[in-house]
Amino acid sequence: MNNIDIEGLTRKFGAAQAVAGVSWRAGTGVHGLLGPNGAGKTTLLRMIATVIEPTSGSLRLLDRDPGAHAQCREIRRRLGYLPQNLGYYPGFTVAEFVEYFALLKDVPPNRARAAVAGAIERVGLGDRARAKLRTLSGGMLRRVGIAQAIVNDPLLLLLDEPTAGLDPEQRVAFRAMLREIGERATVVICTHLVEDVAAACSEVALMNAGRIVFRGGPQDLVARGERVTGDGGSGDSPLERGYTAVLAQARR
Amino acid sequence: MSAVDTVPQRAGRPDAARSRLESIRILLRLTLLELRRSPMPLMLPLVAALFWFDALRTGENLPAIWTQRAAILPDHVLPDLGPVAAGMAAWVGGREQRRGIGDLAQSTARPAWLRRLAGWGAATGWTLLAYAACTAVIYVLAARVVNWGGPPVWPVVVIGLAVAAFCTTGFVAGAVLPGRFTAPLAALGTLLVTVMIFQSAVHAASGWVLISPDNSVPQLDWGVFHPVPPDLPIVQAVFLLGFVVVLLGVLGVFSSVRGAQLRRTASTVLAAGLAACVACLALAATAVRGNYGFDISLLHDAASDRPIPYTPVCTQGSAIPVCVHPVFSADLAGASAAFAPLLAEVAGLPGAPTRVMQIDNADLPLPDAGPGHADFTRFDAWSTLAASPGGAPVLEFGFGDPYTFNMPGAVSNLRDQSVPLVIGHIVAPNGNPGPAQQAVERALIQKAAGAPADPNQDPSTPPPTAAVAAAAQRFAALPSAQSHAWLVADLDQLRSGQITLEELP
Repeated sequence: MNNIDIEGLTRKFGAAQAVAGVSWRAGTGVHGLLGPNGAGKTTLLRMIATVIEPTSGSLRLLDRDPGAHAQCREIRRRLGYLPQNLGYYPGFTVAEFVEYFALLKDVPPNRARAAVAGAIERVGLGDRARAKLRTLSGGMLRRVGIAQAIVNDPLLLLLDEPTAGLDPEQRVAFRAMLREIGERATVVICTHLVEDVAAACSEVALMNAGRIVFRGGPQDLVARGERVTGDGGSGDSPLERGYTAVLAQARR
Repeated sequence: MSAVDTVPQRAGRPDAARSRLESIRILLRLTLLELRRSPMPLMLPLVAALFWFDALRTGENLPAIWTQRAAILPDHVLPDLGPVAAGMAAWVGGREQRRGIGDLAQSTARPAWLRRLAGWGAATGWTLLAYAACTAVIYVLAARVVNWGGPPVWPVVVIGLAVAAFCTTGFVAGAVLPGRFTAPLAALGTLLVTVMIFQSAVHAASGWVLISPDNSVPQLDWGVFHPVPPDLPIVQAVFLLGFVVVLLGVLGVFSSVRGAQLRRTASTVLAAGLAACVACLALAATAVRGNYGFDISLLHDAASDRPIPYTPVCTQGSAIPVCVHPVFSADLAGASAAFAPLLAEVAGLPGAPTRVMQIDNADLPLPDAGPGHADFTRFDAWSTLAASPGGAPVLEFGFGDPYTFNMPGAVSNLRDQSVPLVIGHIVAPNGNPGPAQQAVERALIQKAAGAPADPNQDPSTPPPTAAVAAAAQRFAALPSAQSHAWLVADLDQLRSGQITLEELP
């Protein structure tokens, strides 16, 4: 089953077209969404997160239509989302913040506490559960964001720049967690960090100027880099070379 | 299997009742979270300072009467607390946008209305907690000085709802128009409402403006002799409740961009609140100032006008006791002193009042108005002579100012009214006094009032002749004991016109 089924999706903000006819299908697994700044990744992710509606095209998530209110609610109950800029209430504790979103995601109140504790443990913040958010570092806040995203055991997990601010050790642990979640859910990571994609993703989509210009496995992207290195691909790793090569080709 | 999938009712179409119940449980949990972490307590020091500076200090100087002390709630607590609460609530209402939570919150299953209701509930909860504390302080301090009656409930309810309405206004403003200026504008706007609109309603005697929760300065003895009718407070309370419901409906409509059913529910809530507000405005427009408060004919229960039983407090050991309502026991000495010269002159005389009794101001006939229209805006005190159920004369009086007996002018006015009444009744009970009766009247009035009788006071009384004036001067010059003894012995003959001017001592 494709948890994400997109066909000809567009989104305009005034005259600017942020997403220009994207078609994409994604099933269970960890999917990387790569692309330069302004490529439309975040806009696409916000549409998949049901935060904004597409201007045109078709979008089905978890085999439901997010345009229909009741179905949208069903999708959201199974959705985890970490936005690029995580807002938070500084007076809340870690546990309270995660519980707040657990309740909003329809986790039954009698199970919420356990779900919250589990999510906080999974992101390694068990010892800071009662700390106020205003006292946490940027990396810890990012982990709080991840905890709230996974608190409802989502079938569709959308993470926008999830590893920003995480130290290498945390990043390694995070990738392991993603792989674990990806065994039964669809995980989409929107990132600039190709090493995250290389380590955690089973599939990669590369966006440029509102369109998906590459789709395949990380190895396919590496192969594209090796094939066209002489043709504009650059970077320190094979994946980076593949990334830049595909972009260079798309911009031509 | 996901956490949300583990609940059986979620697998299929959830039962509507269970779904509603769970929504309520989630709302309660969210509200508890919000209550714990709401920034609303930050307003408490400011509210406490305003409360102490304004409400508390003013309250200490008010008469020790429950209705007077309860008037602090609309007059001071509401303007002190309302604008601050509105400002803070606007700050809380705009928090989601300000903190950048919007995207994250919008991607959740529960509607925005629910989470905003939780935020509103917490903001209103803290505001009402602050209000409850202010009310408790006022009522506890009042209970220490008020010696009769019980605390009125309606002012607490109405102003509580008004405070909630202020808070809700701020919250909805913040949620609908999030911005850095929304909070100060909400505080300023609600302050202007209290200062301008409410104050313009203070002296209104009728009309829809009475819907204002701060619409009246209660007269001194409202709620003392008769209960204050609950007509207007009921209408005000329902109006304020309707107003809060309207605002929550607006919040719902604004929050339910997606979801036709939610929008319909929110619109229904809005319409219901609006209907309540319109109905209450229409009812308030029919309110009129009655004897004991404001009456609304559609709601008025005549049974509520029954007098409240009480045992008067009277001077002890005097021939003619002076009695006041126990609420005014502190005024007994003043009242007794005001009537003392008169009572000293007439005690023991046939036709003298058997007692002097404070009555409900509403039952006092004023010179230019009939009974039941006592309005002490022009008169500090007034008196009248009435007959007790047994037929014995009773001098009745009332006063509308708590400082009446400390004001020489007011005391003098009271004597000027009561002395001719009583003395006229004793000397010439059937009216048309003869020359000797006129002379004795003038003499007694001069002795009892401490000043010569004003010949223009009663237009129906002809000006005295020189002979009458001379006889009056002669009688007034007698020692009180001698004139009193003469009256005891010869009053019947004087009344029947058998005594001439020359026969007066």
